[in-house]
Amino acid sequence: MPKTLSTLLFILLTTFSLKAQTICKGTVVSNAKEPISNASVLIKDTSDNILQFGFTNAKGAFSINTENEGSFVVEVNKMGFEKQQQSVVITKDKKEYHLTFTLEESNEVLEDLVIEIDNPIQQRGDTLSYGAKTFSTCHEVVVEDLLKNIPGITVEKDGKIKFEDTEIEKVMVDGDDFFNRGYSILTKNMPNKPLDKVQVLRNYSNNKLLKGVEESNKVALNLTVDEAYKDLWFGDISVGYGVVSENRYEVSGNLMNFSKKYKNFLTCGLNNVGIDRVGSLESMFYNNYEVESIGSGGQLYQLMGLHGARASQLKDHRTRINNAEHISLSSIVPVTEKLKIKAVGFLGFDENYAFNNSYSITNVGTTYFENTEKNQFKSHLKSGYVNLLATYDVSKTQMLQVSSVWNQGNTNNYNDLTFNEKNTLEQLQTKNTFFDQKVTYTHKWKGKNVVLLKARYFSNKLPQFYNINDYLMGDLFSFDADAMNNDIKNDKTFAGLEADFKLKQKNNDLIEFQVGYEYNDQSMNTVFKLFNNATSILPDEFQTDSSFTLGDLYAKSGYTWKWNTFKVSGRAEAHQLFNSFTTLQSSKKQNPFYVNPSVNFTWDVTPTHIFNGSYMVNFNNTSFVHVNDTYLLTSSRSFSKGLGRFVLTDYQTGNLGYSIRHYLNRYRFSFNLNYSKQSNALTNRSFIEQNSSLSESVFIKGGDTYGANLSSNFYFRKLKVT
Amino acid sequence: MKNLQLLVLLFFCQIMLAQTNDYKITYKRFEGNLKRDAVLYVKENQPTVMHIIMASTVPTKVIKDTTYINENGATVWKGGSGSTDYSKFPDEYLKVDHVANKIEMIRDISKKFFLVTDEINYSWQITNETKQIQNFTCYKAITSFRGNTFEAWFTPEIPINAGPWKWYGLPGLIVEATDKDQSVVFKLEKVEKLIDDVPFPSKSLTKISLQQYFKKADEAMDAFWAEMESDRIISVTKTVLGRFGLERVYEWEENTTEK
Repeated sequence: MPKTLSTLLFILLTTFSLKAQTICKGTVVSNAKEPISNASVLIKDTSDNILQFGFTNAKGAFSINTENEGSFVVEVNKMGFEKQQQSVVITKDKKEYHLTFTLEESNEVLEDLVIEIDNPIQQRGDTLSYGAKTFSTCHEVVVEDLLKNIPGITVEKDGKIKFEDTEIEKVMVDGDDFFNRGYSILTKNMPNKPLDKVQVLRNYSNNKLLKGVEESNKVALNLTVDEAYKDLWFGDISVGYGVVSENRYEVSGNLMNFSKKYKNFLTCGLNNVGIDRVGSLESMFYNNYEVESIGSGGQLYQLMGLHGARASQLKDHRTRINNAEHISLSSIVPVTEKLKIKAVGFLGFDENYAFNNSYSITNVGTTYFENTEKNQFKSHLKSGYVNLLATYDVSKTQMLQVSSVWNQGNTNNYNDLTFNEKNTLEQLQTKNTFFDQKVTYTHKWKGKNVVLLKARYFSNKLPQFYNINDYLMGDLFSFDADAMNNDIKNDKTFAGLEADFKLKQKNNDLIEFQVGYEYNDQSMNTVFKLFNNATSILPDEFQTDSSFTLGDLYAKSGYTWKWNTFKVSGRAEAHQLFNSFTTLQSSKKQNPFYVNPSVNFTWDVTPTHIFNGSYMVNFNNTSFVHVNDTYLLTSSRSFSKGLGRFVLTDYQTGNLGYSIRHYLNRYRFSFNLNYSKQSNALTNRSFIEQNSSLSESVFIKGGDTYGANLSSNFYFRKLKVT
Repeated sequence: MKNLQLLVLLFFCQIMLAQTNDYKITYKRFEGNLKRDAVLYVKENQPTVMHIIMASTVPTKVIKDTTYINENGATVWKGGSGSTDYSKFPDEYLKVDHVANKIEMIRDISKKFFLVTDEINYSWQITNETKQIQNFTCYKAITSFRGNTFEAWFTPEIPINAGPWKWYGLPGLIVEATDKDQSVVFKLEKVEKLIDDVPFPSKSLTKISLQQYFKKADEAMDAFWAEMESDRIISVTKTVLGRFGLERVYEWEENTTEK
């Protein structure tokens, strides 16, 4: 036993000695054999990397330990002498190497050297950086929880994130964006642990070529991932199940990989405990801003809505009974150095239930009655979304972006109301299909000028089917109905082209100029039917079959003048419209031309005191619902009808304001004066009867409005009890 | 004969002196939105001296921004209204003896100056990362001490073992240096032959260690607060945010926290 031990020890010792360092010793002297002190000695490998280094002492001697083996270059540098190199091959057999350097004096003197330097910190102006670990209290689970801790950032109940007062554009991960305006799906699911920094990017431009050219107040967030989490798949899964309660569960899982080359984010979740892990995705579906484009807000709106009872005294999330499932997969892949492709898919199901039972007694004088009401509301929602975005950097100054969005949604709402033993069932089905294709080409020249060529096409279909097993409209129709239904077909197509010039002048002023043509085609077909046991009727004036096309040829321009802290911008938009409204009976056309001018100024008296004012004249074209000449059903007992002709509405407003505010300051003050004048306006005239309401658009001459608003706030610190 | 040898040696020394390797090296020191000159005096076989000139301070241009939150969560004010007259602030001096491994600084506590001694044992790690600054190939070296990580870009083509602030010990002049948060950035701007005298006004100053210096500074601060409290009927609540800048945790503090 002692023998083996000693052998073992011996082996250990020998390996130790084998691993022991090689010593590189030597002296450095001048031509006159004088020792040179304080010369630097480097051991470099063949690819010029410095492995070890040392300095000579007063006697010109050096001694450097090295663990490496192979061939190396030993280099000696000393001010006033020529650099000298000697190659050496280090093997494990030899433990000491001796080298002698005799340096030649150099005639080269370090001439007056000047290096032009730029401020390394200047660029920070637009970026606020927060260390993720610093703001963590270790109780956070997802990114959203962490963001709530950061000053200046607020997270609203539906997942919307604001910085100061501005809603952010997107949440990026290491500079790449997954969900644009639907960022809440990321912030509500991604764990906060892998984060290194949270960066707030101010004056943000969605299009990188517009950075520094456009005037932007936009804000975006960028999350940087800790090096330790890069290039690896990681994820989390959490499962919750109510053991004591009824069948209640919550499951959520994430799987992601963020590397330099590609990024993947997969998240899924199902729960029936009332948690909303998705947030509001409407903006992601219809108005994503990742590609600069046109026709925003042009999608269709639902004509009918059906909402159930809400428990008004309790917060929404406390009364939500649901069954939600969602899965989302997104990838960002750079195909080549110039081409980057992003694919995002989302599939979500949600069922929401609500019920409300109430019982009330009224006893006033001789009047006595009891009401019992039972209301059950159910809503089923299915939604699918696919987005493909290709960004092609043609060159450093040219970029082509192609984006396709396909979105389909299905909503079924049921309402079951029992009022004093009388039952009414209502049902509304809504299907939504949205297909969107955008192409944008950006060209920047001379570093200051940008032209964007934008093309977009989308089609939107929003059919709805409504039925109710009751007739609630009293004597509006002279027909003894038991039930009714309404079948709506509502389609829209949009196509548009725009050339957008942004020219930044030498004095930093910006000239903007846009020319474009947009074409909208909307058609509406409704069949409103009343039933009884024997027969059914289709009341005249309540059936719609019409189409509305609108061509808009426009030119817009704006200019901002700046003098120090004073800024004035003027803008004008000229529109030539081609309106056409066609029904089976009639066809109307109108081609109005109008100009909308506006002017506004801001004066930063000091960085926190701002004085501003604006004035604008605005003409507006009539929308479909205001032109339509038949009654459209909007709820179980109300109709609305448009003018049946085209009108141009106009109003003008002026505003002057002074405000003192800064997000770190506890005092806020603002004073505003407003004036507005409506010359021609649209409003509604309603005939309300006990059981029904008919509403019609009317055209009126408006009036003047004046307003003044003063607010002064001081935020006290929390009082301390000592 | 011996005298002759001495003469030769003297003569030789004379030549050596004629070809001096003494330089005046100017860095720009960036901190927040401030930029000032930091001049390094390098003399053969002598400690280097760095002179940070407060009066040279110029606010750098920061666009549309008055505050930012730094990595430690502290709000850093950039500019704002009013200007600070930095010419009234005392200049900073640092003397680095890289042979004896000793650092001396001239620092004040409420306008009373001390010669503060310090010592740092560096272990630089030279990476394979290089970059060109002007015509010089610079290598990146990293090291950490006192709760912070530093990176320095040095070039072996200027074989001077020196650098800004307390940094030294690299086989070449440090051209750029900063810490992980870029709380202070030094960038080389100029190298000239040294003609001026080396400034280091340390005469008749009391010599204390850095630890003693902080102790004294804390005492002075406590005295100041105590005076505030006795003068007025107020109570002062102090929140220690932690230290920012280049040095964050000192060796002696580490020991006390461990206890």
